[in-house]
Amino acid sequence: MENQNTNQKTKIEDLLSGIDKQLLIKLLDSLISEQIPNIASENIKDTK
Amino acid sequence: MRILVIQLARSNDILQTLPTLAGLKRKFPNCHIDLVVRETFQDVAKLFPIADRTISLPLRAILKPLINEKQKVKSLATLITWIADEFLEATYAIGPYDLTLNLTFSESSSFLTEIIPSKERRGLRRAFDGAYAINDPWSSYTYSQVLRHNLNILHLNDIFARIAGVAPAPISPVVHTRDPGAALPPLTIGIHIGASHSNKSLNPKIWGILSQEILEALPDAHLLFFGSKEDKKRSQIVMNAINGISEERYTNLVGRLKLHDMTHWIKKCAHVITPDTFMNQLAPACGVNVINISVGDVNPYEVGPYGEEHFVLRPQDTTLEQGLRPLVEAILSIVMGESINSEIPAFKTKLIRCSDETVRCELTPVNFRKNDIRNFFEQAYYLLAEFRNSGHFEDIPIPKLDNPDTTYSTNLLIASYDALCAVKKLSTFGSQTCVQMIKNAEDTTLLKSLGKQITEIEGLLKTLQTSVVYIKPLVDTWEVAKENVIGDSVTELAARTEGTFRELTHNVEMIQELLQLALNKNIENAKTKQAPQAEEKEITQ
Repeated sequence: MENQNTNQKTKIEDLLSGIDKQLLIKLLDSLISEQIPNIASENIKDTK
Repeated sequence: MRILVIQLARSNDILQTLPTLAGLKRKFPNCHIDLVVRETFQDVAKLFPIADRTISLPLRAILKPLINEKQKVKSLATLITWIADEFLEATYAIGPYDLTLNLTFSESSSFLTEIIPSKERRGLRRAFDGAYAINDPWSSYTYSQVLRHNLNILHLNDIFARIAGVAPAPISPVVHTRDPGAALPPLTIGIHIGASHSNKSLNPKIWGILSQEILEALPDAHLLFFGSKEDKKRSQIVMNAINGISEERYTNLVGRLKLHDMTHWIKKCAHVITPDTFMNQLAPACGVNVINISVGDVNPYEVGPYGEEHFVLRPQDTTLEQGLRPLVEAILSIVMGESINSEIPAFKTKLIRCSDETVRCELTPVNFRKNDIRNFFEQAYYLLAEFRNSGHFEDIPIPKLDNPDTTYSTNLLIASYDALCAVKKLSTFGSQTCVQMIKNAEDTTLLKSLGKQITEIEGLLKTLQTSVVYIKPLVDTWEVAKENVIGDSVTELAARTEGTFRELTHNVEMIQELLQLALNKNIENAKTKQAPQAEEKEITQ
């Protein structure tokens, strides 16, 4: 199981090698800010 | 050819994107299209199997760790895993996409567009410094005109297709053949009572009275009520209003249908009456005529029903006291195929074939005459966009300016003309200032002073932008172009900024030329009308 996770991690790292990591963080931040009006404390209503 | 289309907005936006996908398939039959949508709305994309692969953005799974456990890192890991699995693995194996079309115009979509490897990208993007970036003309048009609520008369379906460089093609849903039960009469009318916001629909009491009046006026009619689960309470008010009428004459489907079942029922209708953008697109895709009651802050030119022979009613007053009677009259006239004498402005849709083999959906006034000056500027800006963005003069007549007969209209026309002249002077001055900057790129003191001059010019243009409504589209276009100027040196930045001012000058000149042509035509018409009267006078004398 541990080996499988390590392999998965290495594979993702390989795939991400050419990607600007800042863009990924900004993507997440913008998804969060766009969903803020729809985010209830317990659950997420994806209804924007 | 591998194409990625990103549409992370709502169901109606997905429906407005699909004709572009169909157009791409028609133009490039062997292309492979991946369509990215939010998981919540994936059913809409799957109802129309045009894309080769529909990729769902699992927003719930991504945001859940953050909301429930305050674990942003876990959310980021889920997001990264999704991107790696859905896009990067394929890129690794077969290379980047040939073309990415981001038709969403949201911040998140612009980051996603930038992350997924692609040889060419159109739509909203991000520059290296994180600022928004747009590099193709029709996306720039969308950003400066549609998103800023300017005088746009192009349907979103047509704009999306223009961004992709294709003609929009018809779409048709996969319909399940479940029998809806009892046979329905030919005059079955769908009534869709819901909308994305309550202020974009009618009050349920009005829907109730409207339904009652339709059933009483049309004894052969059967009504099908559509709406989502959220509309169930509203539908109850409608049902209460018609409870004196035999239940055999209507069927309440509000909140009861899944999307694929809904299309089956819609196809049973002769007309669907709806305020909703989603139904505006879905019913025509099912081959059913729409009567769109367009209320609230929506532009029916952009999101009205697409295709031939649909109607848009644009009531100004939707109160029970004043607005209901003319609304009922207009709907009954349309259903019975009679001319519309109601006081509610009514438009009819028509597909116009353009000179470059694409099409556009036009809204033509049926029972009223549009304000001449507004009509002139709407058409003039459309012509300008076609010329600037697609490189051709569209083959519609020169906009008319028949009779700006009221003092208000004349004053507005004069103010607009004066503002056009002012914009032209400012843009010429801006252009000259930029040239001075290029010539004196080493002189920092002079550069500072010239930079201040540019800031003042921008300030004056912004004053005109906010004070003269018919000038705003021009200044907005320039502003978006200027915000997208990038460069590594003062010379490069000044040269590109000069380009934006020069383009603004040319755009003003084109609008002025169209205005002159319209006024000349107006003068000619006036002379023709006066000539026979003069002759008559001579004979009498």
